Amino acid sequence: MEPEEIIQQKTWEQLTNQEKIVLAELVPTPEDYNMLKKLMALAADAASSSGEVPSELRLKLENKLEAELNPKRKYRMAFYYAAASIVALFVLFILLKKQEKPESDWATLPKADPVEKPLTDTAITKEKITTAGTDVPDKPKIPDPLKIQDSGSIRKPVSIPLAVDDKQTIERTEKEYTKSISVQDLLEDDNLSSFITAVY
Amino acid sequence: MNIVKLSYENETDEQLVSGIAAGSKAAFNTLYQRYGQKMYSYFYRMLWQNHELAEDQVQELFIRLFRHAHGFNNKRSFSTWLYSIAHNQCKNEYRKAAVKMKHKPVMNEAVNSNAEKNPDLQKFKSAIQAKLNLLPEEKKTLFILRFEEQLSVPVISNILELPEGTVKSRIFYLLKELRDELSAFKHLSIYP
Repeated sequence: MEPEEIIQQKTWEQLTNQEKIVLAELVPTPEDYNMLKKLMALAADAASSSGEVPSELRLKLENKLEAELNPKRKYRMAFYYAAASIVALFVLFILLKKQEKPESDWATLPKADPVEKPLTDTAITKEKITTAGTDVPDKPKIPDPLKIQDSGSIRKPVSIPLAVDDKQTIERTEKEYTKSISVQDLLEDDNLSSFITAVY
Repeated sequence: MNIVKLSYENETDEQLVSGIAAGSKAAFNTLYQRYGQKMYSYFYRMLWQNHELAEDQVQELFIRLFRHAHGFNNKRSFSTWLYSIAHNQCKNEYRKAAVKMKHKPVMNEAVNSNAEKNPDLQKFKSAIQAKLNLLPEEKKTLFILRFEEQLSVPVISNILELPEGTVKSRIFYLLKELRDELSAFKHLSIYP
């Protein structure tokens, strides 16, 4: 039993020696004991000191409760609508995203930095060093021009139309050349005839 | 078929809270009948014997009860839960009062309002009330919960969220302090 419970329930005369020892520090004398006992009795009666709870308080409370109930329902419905619309928008967004994916994949790909491949030293690893008499280098494969069939992929030289001035210049040059190297000229050339004689 | 319960008289407090959580006004009214007066009286004594303030706090308490009924843990005692909420409300009021310091005139008026046949007893009551009003918030709460509301130490420790040992020792030292403060009344003819 707690000290205050002993004081509330018993008079000083009813206390046992054991209880008096327990209470010695708190209430050493009967006067102290009685004073605290009265204090506790008055405190227990104090609950009624406030008087009756006002009757209008209940009405006020009911009104507040009513106001509390109605907005609650409204808010709840608004919350459900808002939640449903958010979910719908989210689903729509996902669907749209899925449709756009093939194009957007390329568009959204980050610009990749060029990867630098390590260069292998082909001069060292692949070069064949030929030695006389042993390794004969392969013949280069030169395609035979006669065997080449034109499948239409070979481009034919395009004839470039010449200007009139250019044509005249060419004709004049040819004429001068033919004129300059005539038979007479060949016969008169001693060096040339001596060369031909030496050969034959 | 849904059966609407019209009477909650025989239900426990905890069952009534479940009813309130389900939206029952009848359950709420029954709970108000049980605790309305009690909590009004508690607030009145805790808050400087101010009727208006007590009224406001009771309204606030029951609105909170209504709002948070679904969060009530059925394993816990309802009255302890209710007193915990009320205690927090009082703490808020003490905080506000500390800023405003406007309740002092109300406090003095309340102390002098009671008239007793035994002048010594009247003096003693006034002295207790004056002393209580001057006590720090924690001590005043402890006194009211233990000696006016007559709650047990375990319940108080739950409300104040303190270990039982702490509550016991605080009560002991509070009584000792009151004994010393009221020692002038030791020899007056106020005892049975």
